Amino acid sequence: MTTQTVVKPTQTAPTNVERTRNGRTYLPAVDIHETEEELVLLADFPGVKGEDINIQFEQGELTITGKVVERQPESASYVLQEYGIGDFVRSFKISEIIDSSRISAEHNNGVLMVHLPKVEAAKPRKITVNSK
Amino acid sequence: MLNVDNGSFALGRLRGEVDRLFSDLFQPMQSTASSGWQESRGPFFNVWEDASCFYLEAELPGYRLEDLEILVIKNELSLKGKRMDSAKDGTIFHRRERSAGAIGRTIRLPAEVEAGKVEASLRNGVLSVKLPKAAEAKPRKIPVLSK
Repeated sequence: MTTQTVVKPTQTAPTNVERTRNGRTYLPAVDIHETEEELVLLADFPGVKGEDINIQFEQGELTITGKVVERQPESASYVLQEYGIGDFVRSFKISEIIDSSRISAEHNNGVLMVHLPKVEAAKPRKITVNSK
Repeated sequence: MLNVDNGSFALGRLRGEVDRLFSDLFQPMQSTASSGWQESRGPFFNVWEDASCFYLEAELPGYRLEDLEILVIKNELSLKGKRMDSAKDGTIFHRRERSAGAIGRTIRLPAEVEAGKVEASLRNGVLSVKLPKAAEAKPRKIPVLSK
């Protein structure tokens, strides 16, 4: 038996909220995988310090934000410039089977890991059949 | 096939494919000594300079310093590395955008550097390399004598 997928994370463009800081924002690359217990989200947050990460879960919408401190001199004379630097923002709609009170996160080597535990009822359960 | 009715999943996959296509298209030509097909993908670099040094930076989230190999010869810098894959066999992925596997790239700097004095650090997934220019590559002020 395969586990039925119960969650459909859909990405929403975080355009309805105005930002107070200037500058570009970037969509971090993410992996989302599912186990029997939880959904796990991994996001690439290079250059973001732990204290500059903000995770919000409101009305089924998970928003991860990483503030990036400017680390290249403004007047730098570039020999090669292949990527831009700015804050990371991304939102996902998460279905109600997530137990929002138990969401936890950790941060390691510039990668954010968010654990989204499923509520008890949503976990697959094996029913044993008693035969006499 | 799981979640056949999940439109967002298929769309996410397509998006990933399109992203990959574009990043392959705009991938700068790689100069490598080794011949044959190269499977590793290059990371993006920002490089800037002042009078005495070049500074190279690359975003490498999820890499540890021991996963990376940096080689500097004359004016060439090569970077190789591998990121640990978080996926176990049988993992159900809803999204898979973070590329796993090997990276590798060689770039040529505009001037020679002192390979022995190169410093590299990795902080929060950002690699910073400081490459002091070789003495002959530094700008020199020529005094003008007037009589």
